[in-house]
Amino acid sequence: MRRTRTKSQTFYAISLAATSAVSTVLLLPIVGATAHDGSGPPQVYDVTQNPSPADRAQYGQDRSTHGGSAPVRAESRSKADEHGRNDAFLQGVLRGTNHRLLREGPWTRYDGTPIGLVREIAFDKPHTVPMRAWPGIQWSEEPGTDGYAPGKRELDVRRMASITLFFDDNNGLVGAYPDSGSIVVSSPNNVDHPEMAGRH
Amino acid sequence: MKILAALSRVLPPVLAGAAVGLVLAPVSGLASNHWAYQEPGHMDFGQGDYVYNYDFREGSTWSKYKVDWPITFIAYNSATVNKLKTVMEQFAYDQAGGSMYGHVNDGPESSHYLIQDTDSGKKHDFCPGVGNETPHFRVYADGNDYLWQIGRGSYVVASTHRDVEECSSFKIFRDSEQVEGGIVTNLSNLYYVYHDRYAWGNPEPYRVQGRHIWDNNGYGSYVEMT
Repeated sequence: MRRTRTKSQTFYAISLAATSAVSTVLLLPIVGATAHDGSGPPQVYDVTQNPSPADRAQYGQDRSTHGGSAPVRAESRSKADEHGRNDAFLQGVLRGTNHRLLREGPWTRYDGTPIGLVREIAFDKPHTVPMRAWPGIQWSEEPGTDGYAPGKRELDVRRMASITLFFDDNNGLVGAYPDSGSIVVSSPNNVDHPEMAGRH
Repeated sequence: MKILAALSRVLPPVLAGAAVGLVLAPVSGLASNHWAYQEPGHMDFGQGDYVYNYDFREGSTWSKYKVDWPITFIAYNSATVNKLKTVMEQFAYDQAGGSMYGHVNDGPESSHYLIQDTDSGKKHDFCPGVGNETPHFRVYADGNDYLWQIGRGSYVVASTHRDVEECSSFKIFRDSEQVEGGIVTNLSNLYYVYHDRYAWGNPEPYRVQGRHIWDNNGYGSYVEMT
């Protein structure tokens, strides 16, 4: 049986096709070859297996493993030791605590130029540091630059399990950050930048 | 020091002081941002499916100089991007972040095309200021919101990290491994999880480039959703 379309049916069909075409273009993810500015083809890691039910007990826990440490220059280590001994902020934070070096690694600019090292110090018991000025690094947001300005912000820190310290070989302790489990209150004197939201 | 001495002769004292205070170096070549310890690789899931083991700051390249964070977990069995994000809302991951790109290939389901999927992910706090921070994960699949294969069902992959004091001039970024562990622990209340089950070729030793702290053990976690 032959089917015929009215004008309105034809208009509807054309509109539907056009809408579908536009939607398809808009909804398609970016597809195509990607460029590579490194060397050689990508390494392939065989992960075809799913875990088996027998694995559930063994792999249900947080094993808290880490990726090891990159080599630290002996010069940076000895300078950090010296800077740390002479830094009033750090000595004030550590006074009266039992603590240990959890890990340390090199600190470089993005182009690989050495700056110094970063250390994470763990406390045996949760530690409180009443409101005071903490050093912090202010990495440059300017395109074409690769460096930081030292600064300070006022923090009240409670239940701190560890502290991450940025040592510049030349300028000493320039950054200190409490661990993510700490309870931190920021002073009203600090300045936030809401315009920076959503960039990372 | 000779340069600084020369600067102090030609600049007013205040400007010379600023030049000394801002410890800057010119950006050279490719390394204008953080970069991975090794070249990114394919996680070969079989049946023609593969996923790059890092996410990227750009959609069009995959070199180690363009990575953002390692891929750290997979949700599978009946996972989609939206389902995982919705489930994570009950653990306070209800804010969006900045977008990056995952590179995924769904094999025959995507006609073997490599897809560059962009995602802003989910985090606790949209704009953590001084003294605040937030864990942040991003989820990747292809255009229909999931990857699929026989035996694994629908699945998605995710990267993890923490934004520290992001909305301040003191921002740093860290903890890909710890945030992976936290999310897997959250999801263990709902599903079977396998923390750090298989090697995914993206270990990152502890080191800091600029304000980006690397530390990743290279083992991916599996979340068996229902």
